[in-house]
Amino acid sequence: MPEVIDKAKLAFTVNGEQVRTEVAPHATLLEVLRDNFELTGTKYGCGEGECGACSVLLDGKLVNSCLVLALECAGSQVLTIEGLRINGQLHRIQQAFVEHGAIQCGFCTPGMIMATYALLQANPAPTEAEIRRGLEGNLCRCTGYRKIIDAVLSLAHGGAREPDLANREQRTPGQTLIGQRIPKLDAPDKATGLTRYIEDINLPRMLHGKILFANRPHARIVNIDTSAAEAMPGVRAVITATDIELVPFGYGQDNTALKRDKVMCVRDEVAAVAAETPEIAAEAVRCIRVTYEDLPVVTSPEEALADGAPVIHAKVPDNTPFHYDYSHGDVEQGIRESDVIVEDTYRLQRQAHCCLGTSGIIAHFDADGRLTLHSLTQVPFLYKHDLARIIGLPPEKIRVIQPTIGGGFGSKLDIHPFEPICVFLARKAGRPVRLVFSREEEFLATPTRQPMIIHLRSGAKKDGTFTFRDVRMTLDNGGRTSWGATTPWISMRTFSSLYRVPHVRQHVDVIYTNNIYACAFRGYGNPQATFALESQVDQLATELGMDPLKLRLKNSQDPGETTPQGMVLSTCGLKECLETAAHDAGWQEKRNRQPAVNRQPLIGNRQSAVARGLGMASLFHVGGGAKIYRSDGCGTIIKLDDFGGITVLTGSSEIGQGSETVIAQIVAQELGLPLANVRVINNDTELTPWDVGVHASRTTFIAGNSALRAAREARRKLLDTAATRLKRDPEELDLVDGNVVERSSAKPLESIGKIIRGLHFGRTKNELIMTTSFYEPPSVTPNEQHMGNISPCYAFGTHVAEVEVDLETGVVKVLRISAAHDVGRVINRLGIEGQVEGGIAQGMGYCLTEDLKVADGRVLNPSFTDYKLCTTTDMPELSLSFVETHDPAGPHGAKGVGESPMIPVAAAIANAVYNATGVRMTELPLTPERVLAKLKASRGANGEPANG
Amino acid sequence: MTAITSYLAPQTLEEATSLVAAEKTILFAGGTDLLPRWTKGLTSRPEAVADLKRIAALKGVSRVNGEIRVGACTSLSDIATDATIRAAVPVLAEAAGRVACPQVRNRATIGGNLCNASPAADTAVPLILLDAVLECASSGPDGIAARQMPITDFFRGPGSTTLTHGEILTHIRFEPPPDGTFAAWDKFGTRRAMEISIASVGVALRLDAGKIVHARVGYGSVAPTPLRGHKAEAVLLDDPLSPQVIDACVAAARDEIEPITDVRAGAAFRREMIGALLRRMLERARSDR
Repeated sequence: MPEVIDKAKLAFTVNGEQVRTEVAPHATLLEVLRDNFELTGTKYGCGEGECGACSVLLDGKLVNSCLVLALECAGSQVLTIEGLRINGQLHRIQQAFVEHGAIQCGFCTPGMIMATYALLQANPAPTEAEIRRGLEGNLCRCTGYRKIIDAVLSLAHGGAREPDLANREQRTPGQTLIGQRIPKLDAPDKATGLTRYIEDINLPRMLHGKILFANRPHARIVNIDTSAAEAMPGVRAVITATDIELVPFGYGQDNTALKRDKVMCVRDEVAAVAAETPEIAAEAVRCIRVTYEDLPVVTSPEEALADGAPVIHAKVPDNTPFHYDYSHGDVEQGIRESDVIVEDTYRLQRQAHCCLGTSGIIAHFDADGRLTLHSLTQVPFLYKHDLARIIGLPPEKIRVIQPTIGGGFGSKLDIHPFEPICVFLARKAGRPVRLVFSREEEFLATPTRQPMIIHLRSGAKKDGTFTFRDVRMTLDNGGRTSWGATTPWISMRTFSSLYRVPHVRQHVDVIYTNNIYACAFRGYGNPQATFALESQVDQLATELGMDPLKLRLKNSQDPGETTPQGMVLSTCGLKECLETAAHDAGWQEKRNRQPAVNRQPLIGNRQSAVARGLGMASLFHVGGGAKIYRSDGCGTIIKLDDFGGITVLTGSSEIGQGSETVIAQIVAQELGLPLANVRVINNDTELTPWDVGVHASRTTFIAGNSALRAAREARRKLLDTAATRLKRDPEELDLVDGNVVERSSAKPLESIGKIIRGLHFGRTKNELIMTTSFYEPPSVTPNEQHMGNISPCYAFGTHVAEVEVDLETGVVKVLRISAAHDVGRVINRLGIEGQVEGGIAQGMGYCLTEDLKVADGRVLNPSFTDYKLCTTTDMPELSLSFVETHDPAGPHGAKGVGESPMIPVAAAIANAVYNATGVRMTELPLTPERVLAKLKASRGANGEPANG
Repeated sequence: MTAITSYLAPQTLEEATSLVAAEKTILFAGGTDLLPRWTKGLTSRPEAVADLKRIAALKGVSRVNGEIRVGACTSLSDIATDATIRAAVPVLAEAAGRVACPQVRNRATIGGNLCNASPAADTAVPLILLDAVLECASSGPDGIAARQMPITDFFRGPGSTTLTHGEILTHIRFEPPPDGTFAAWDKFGTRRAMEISIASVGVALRLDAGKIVHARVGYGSVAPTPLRGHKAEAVLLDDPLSPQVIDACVAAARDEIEPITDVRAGAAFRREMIGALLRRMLERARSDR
């Protein structure tokens, strides 16, 4: 039983205002700011001082408010993000973050801005190195930190540096919005702490949900005793599997919201509680007694396939729920035609999404039994459809509202058990229930990137022509199936179609174990495949004695080709990407340095322990969705008010990536109205038309095309109306800067507002301008042999990494990455740079530090302390290039780029490590321990003395 | 989960020592280790905490009779930026400045870093090099009972010190190294910030007429406690800083540590890192000569 705590009085100053309140002695400053003062701009990111999202100033010093007891602040001055904005004006730091594109999902932003404030107070003109050190305690998962550092640098120079803005007001008359640097429309709210994320939303009489996880990898449930929890004051609902109808869900139909007979991984959900406070809910969950009978644990695919292995799901006696086979050409012929053949096995780890905002949901039934969900889903319409079945409610009775999402990256593509659990709690309690994960729960109970073992064999002729690829992949599916099991759909496209190769065969086994499971994550199986393939392309280059750049160029496709898997490369900038990135990185000069291991005297007469190297990798990915569902379309509704205000209702979701701004640009450009006139509504299934969801790098292409079509329709109506009013031919007119203008002279003839009002209040007919569009891309669902043009266009790119390897410690330091991407056409330069920079940071983490370790079915490092994201101090110099191939089907020629930048990073770095050291790394991440072990093994093999 | 029922903020050392004589009160300084442990349920919350940060006498850096005396409640960021420390013992400033991140350094105290008794406590190794003396106080019959001990007697094991119940670490005191002392400290982690050391090592030495006349070596994260490197020191002492001596010193260091394998790194790798970092320091000392 929680003790009744006498609250203590606390008087302190918050944002200049003297306040008094009552707090529990154990309450943190973070809790008190959020709960007692509704200062929700201060965010919970981890609760242990490892992320900086809760940073505030306490008596002028930057602190993590989660690491301060509220009572410590008696008599102190606290400054939060809400205290920076004075008289409604953005503080100059907030302004700089907005203008420099330093904000994506925005969850880390308030903490990052407070850290900047503290830094600039102590040091008004910091160098870049000082900025990196000053912000080293603030994690960001979206931006890769580059734009944050740029924002602070602009302030360090007296704040005078003009951001390269393209506000309507600052552009030259008639200048296009397409390709400009446009700050995200939602950035000012995010910079000021006004944005409400899931944990900032409080409904009246809302309860707090908490889940009991099995915390054992494989066991029979003998009994669950919830009596103590139910008897606890403040507990309003306790549920176990016997309280609900168990409807199977998930890609493998092998998951249920709660588990009745057996748990198959540590994160299996066993019971749940809704209570008046989060503390009571947590205490009640601790009081639930579950009796288990432990079963033998299957910890790896090898064990799962061994004779006599325990069967995890009775309906799959061989523990192998899925196979995939793909082939084109004849691999045996390819082998015969090869002059060189290389073969290796690549091991890829679990990467956690680490959205700075943890997962959460609010479920609320109205008196009619209609359900409103505040959900972070990336796929609101499919979610509504799939959830309906699980919770036994018709889909039309479910409304999905998405609050601002603190990072997605694929993690919110699936229905996770906590979501129906929250609905069941709300139904039982008859009150709204909010369920938000702690950081530890986020690590333990959300799926990861799919771990893979890839065995790849490939060959080439003497002249470098690729001959074949033979792929075997083994996926550790864990105990349940989420989207991770389907990532081979995308892996195989890289094996079949990154460079020309006539003969490819791929076999994939997906295997149940008692480990945690995997879902969608930016790249969707492609980073794994690209690591294996692009490592092996380098191995072939070594065998052939060819420059890896030349080998890749030789095998690159040209625009107009159709790959053997049936993918039509309407545009293809692969060769330009290779050449651009190589040129930018100084490939010729640096690769020609001999020997590759570039030892230089460092100290005294000893040889330097540092070797530098350069490596490259390319990528192939869908550039406008992947038609795996019956429709890959998106709907748009546009309505204009009487004054030229535009409301765009789009089915596509904003998860921090900037789709809202891209869509607004496309519409504003078409209608000749200021960007500031556009409001995008994109988060409510009652209002917005259908869309398949945010995934497969599809939003700019598909939602952009949909918005463009609806905008063109509105434009036509405006021009027709104007032509009638002005007695001109519509062809003679244009819409520019809020006016109808004469196309030939650019002379303004009438304001657009006047045209709209004339139509609305006219004497002869009365109409509003409201248009709709549903865009379905011309892609096809692949057939059973996985053949078909799955996407309307394809993205390409090349990264060149320059690294320094410490030969005595195994530390790989990335010095620079040159990234060139075929993006079709840049719509928002600021946004697309942010996507690439953020993708590179995720790719660097995947390559160097990130690894959610699992042993005996248990997660070993569920915290930011031991699951290591890159910090400001780890990021290298970045040089970005955009290859514009103007895809004929793309909006203004654009293709998707959301996932691409993450994909080739690990392979490029591993190839650079090889160039530096002669050591081929085949397992990620490249921890110093792993690199040093390989270095020592290779030195041993060469008979050189080992260091140290 | 227990809950804290009282938060106490003594203003003087006397108040503090009498408060912590009570059974269920624990000492609280920066809170950067305690709070997450409580939140995650790794340690149950105490009934009462006595926050030492309001005791002025426990804060700040002073020079007393040629010695430097640091209050146990001085924050790591104050130590990292203190002019006296930076000038006289830059290794301590560097170690304090490389703990976690600015937010944590602004709260965490040097006393907390030591009393937390993590084998990875970054300030412990520089203090071992300095032969630091730790001053403790407790409630005695005539007010305050004082006790002091060398830092090497302070640590008992992970999370455990030789402080007795009711005792408060009040100050850390050491003589600044004489001119001509070479001192270095470094830590190894997989990121450049926010790292709990996988291994850390420090060395301090003085040469006279080509021979090492004073040597201190210390290690972190490679034994149950921060460790003084007696064997490595013995190799150095009375010898020139020759390549052979460096080799022997590194070998002795690798031999006398007792690293473990955990989620952060393997034992063998920690041993490698101690060797690599120590070798670099000794070679730098040799080239600085």
